[in-house]
Amino acid sequence: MIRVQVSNFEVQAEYERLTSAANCGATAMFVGRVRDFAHSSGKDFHLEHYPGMTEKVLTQIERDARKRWSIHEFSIIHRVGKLEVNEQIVFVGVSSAHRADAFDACQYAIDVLKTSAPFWKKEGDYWVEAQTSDVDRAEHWLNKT
Amino acid sequence: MMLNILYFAKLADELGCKQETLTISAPEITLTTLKAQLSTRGDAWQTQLNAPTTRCAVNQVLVNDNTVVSADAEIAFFPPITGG
Repeated sequence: MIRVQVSNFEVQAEYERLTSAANCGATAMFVGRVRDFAHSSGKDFHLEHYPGMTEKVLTQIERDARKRWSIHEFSIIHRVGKLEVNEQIVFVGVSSAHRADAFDACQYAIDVLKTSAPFWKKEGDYWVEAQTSDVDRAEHWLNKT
Repeated sequence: MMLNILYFAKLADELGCKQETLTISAPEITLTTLKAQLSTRGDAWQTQLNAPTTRCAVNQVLVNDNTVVSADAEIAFFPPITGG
């Protein structure tokens, strides 16, 4: 399940959805929150995205994860628009029979999302710069087929 | 032919443009040629479109500059992604 939305999400509700299938022995979840990138608290924080392409990329991440690991339920929720420092911004959740599949698929999804899903963070007038460490983490998965 | 071109994030700010419809007098064009044509608009265009970090998508799929685009394509230029 893929959702791109302005509104916040409730981790407990997402956890219950992930574990609604039978035989979910393991569930891994990742929650990302807004950091104070420019150390300028109080400034507007904004998340821009490319509508259409974003959903397409996230759907492909789910499809690829399901090919690589044994997954029951899979969720990515990404927020867009105006956000405050410390607010929840992204949720990735994977349920599976065993923990290795859940952990690996969850980490894969957030690492690949970070370099391939078209979202951009802006704090005040400052566009957040991309990190080369993020590219390294994504390539680690994409080269390991 | 008509092309729909989108610009995002820092690129849109620097170029002062988020979206445009461009008429090209050819049935198809490579991205390299399109970028060269847009670059004649001025320094900001030249710098932003040709920066090695600038990404391009055609019909919402990431592509390289050798890609040929044809009528009614949706082309997007944007800086490196910073979501998550």
